[in-house]
Amino acid sequence: MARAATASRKPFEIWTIVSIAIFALLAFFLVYPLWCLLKESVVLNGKFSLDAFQRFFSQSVYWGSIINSIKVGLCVMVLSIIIGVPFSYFYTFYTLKGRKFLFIICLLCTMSAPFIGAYAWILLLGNSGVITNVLRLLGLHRLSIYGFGGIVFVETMKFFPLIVIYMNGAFLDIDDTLLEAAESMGCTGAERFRRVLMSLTMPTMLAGALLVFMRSFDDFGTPVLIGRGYSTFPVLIYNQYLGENGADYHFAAAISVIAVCITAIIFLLQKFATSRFKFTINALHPVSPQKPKAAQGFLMNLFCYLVLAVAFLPQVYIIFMSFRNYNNSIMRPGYSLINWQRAMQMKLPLATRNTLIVSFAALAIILVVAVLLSYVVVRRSNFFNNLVDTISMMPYVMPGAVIGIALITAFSREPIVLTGSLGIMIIALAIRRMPFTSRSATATMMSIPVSTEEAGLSLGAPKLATFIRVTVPQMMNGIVSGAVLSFVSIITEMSSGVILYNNRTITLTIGTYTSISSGVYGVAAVFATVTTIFTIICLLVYLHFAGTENVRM
Amino acid sequence: MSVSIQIKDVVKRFGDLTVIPDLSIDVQDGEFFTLLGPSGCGKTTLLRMIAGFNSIEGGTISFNGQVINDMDPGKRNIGMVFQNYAIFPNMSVRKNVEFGLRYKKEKPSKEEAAKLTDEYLKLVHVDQYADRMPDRLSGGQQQRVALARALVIHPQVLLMDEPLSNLDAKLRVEMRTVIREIQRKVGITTIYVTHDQEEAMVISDRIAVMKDGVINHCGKSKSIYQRPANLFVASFIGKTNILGAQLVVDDGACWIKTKDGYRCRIDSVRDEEVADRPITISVRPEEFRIHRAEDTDEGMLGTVHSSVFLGLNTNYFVDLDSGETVQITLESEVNEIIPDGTKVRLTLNTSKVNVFDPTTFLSLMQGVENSVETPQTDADREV
Repeated sequence: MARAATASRKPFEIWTIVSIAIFALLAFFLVYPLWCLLKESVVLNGKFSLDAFQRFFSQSVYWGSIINSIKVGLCVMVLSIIIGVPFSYFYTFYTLKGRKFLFIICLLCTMSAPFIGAYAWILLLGNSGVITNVLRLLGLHRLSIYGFGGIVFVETMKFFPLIVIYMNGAFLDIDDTLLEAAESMGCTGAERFRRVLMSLTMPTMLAGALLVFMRSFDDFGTPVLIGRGYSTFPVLIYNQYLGENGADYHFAAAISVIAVCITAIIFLLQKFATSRFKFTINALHPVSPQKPKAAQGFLMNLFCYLVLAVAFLPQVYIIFMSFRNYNNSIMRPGYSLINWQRAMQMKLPLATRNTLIVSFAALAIILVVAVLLSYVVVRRSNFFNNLVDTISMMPYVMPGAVIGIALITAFSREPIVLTGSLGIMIIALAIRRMPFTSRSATATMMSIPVSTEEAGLSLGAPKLATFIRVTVPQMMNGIVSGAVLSFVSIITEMSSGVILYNNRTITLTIGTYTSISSGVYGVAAVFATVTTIFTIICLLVYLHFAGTENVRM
Repeated sequence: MSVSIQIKDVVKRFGDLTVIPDLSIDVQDGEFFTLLGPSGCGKTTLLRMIAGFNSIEGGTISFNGQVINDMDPGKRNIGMVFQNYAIFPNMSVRKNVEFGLRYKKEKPSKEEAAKLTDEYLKLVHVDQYADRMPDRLSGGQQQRVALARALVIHPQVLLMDEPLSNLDAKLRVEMRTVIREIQRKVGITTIYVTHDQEEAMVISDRIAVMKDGVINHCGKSKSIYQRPANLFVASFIGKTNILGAQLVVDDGACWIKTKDGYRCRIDSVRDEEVADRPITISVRPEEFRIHRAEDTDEGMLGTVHSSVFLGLNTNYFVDLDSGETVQITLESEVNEIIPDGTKVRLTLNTSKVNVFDPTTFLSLMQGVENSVETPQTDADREV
């Protein structure tokens, strides 16, 4: 009732203008490029043609890539749940050693640049990797990081902390008395875990699972570095787009359309699965961690630390390797700053500058749009505003490569040429991260009682003044923590950037990638290290604003 | 400078749902006026229409005769106190109270604003917390800040939406006295919404009892309690027992005849309603007299079912032989409580009992003081 009640009688007020402005922005930078993409995929030489789709489904090289991507995505999703759920359970319900430390490392893992993991694992487990060499001495020759298994391993190690963070939130939402009630009815141990804990946290787990699948489906860095012929969708699209035989926009567009269809189906499946678990819980007495028995506790600590050590190893190793002497791809004995010197010559300053410009600009756009959008969606709920909200959510199911291709098809021709500018990178990143920030802004907005705004209005303050002085400050906490996480994702963004960049608009992650592909491994480690330093700074800022306990993504 | 409020034929609809069909009431200048009713009766909706947060689908609301239907909430010069206080959590107590001064037509200077703020912080006794953030205040203190914030802008009208319902019982009793005193001191027209009938009776000059968007009875506490306009008001205000009976004219006098034949004389039924007819009577628990069955032949026969000792009073639950069950309140005696299972006879204090028409549920009594017309039938009898 309160919501309907605040709906204004006057058709034109400041918020109507805001909705229309957001709609216009989304229409121009999101809907129009997608329309161009769709058109590109079905129009050949000015005529309607499904030839690209035919080509795609007639050659197993092509459709096989999509199947590969789905296979990898599902495996990573399942494995992440298998590792992440027990991890989070141990973390929430028992007092592990160094809880805070565990959590920070967990966050750092999710924040690492996309293929730092892949690259480090090559150095560790690749053909001439450190561990490989050790294993060879032990007589083990078959173990290899390349191919399907490697991709799944690396991505799982990178994405399972996402499940941990999601599940921590869900477990903390469970009221302790529910567990006590179950126990009093004789439902204990594994039975209680399955029937009470798992069913109560199912919606969150499905949301986390979807996110992991999307991230994996979208991941360009890992398969391109260690796929070795195991082609996945982002790699395929990249190759079509920047292939040796010249760019094939038409075919790349068709692949993009197919990819979006698949992610949309997965998204709908997840929605359907979640709709079967619709309930709200509100914990008055959140669970407090208990001290485990000695043996149990040892095993839990062992599990958590071991898994995290493996997941975090690449980042530490990369920093270490940035000081190692290299001659292009050949490792030399000794340590020095030589890689850093070479990186300085090879656009490290430019890449850092670009990264910061792009990140801050994109973040500013996202914040302003998300905050305004969340306000009109929650406080002026009507058909038009809900439509705008739905449009803003579309990028959630769109792989970065698709957004990259769509922007290029839309903005590479007269009258609007944005390709090759930092502007197009900013737009791509703003679009990519919009759904996440706008979700958290909407959730925050919903938790703000409408009465404080009404108090402001009844005290005579104009609408905009009330919004800025009363509403926005109350949103700050929720927004800032979400914004820092978005900022990290933007810094470490790869898949859309790799399609949009050029020599002048190179960023840190792309710098890492180009250094690896041109074989200067030491320099790549430097680029990766700088990226990691930025993520650590962001994490510190984040922890300053949000307590470690209530991290929600 | 406060105003009188005229509400004339207002209608409120949410989509297809009509919440207030047609409501008219006048509130006097400086009056403490309470809208009382069960949840969902439309009392908050009406308050928010006066505040300007709800649109008005028909009729007019005027301050001193000037229609304010389409005026923005900020222009109506009202002070509003919300159920959840709505203190701005991002501002200190002082900043909260100062907030509205900045948007006044004649904006006070910095010094004046600070002086006014101090004055009102003192008035509600939170001056010692002026620089605290709201999250470090108790519920009662927050409500005092909300009151100061609403009053400091010198509004024409003070609107309060269940301001005490989030406080604990003891604080509620304390705060209602505070609110009443401050309202008297400032002398501002106040509309107060509550579902707590005791709170309404203590605090108000006049109460409007609402049900389903309609005011059933509007008057002073005493008249509403003692001579309710209809059965709903009788049962909503305080506790009452509803019994079926007959009105009998005999020897030129008027008698209530209960189901089991007990007769008692009643003189306060309106002359035009006196006739042989079925009636419904409302007897408050304290309006019964209780006798041991062996002591008298007069009264309704029944059996004590159970009793509850409450200190000052003792409540008895008696199963009447007619099949009805009644609750009786007696002042506790030093003697033994009447044991369960005792046969008793009940007589009525007919000067206090109320008589209603069993189909329209309207009161048939003399002395009903009501400034609105009570609706005729009351389809679903919730008693």
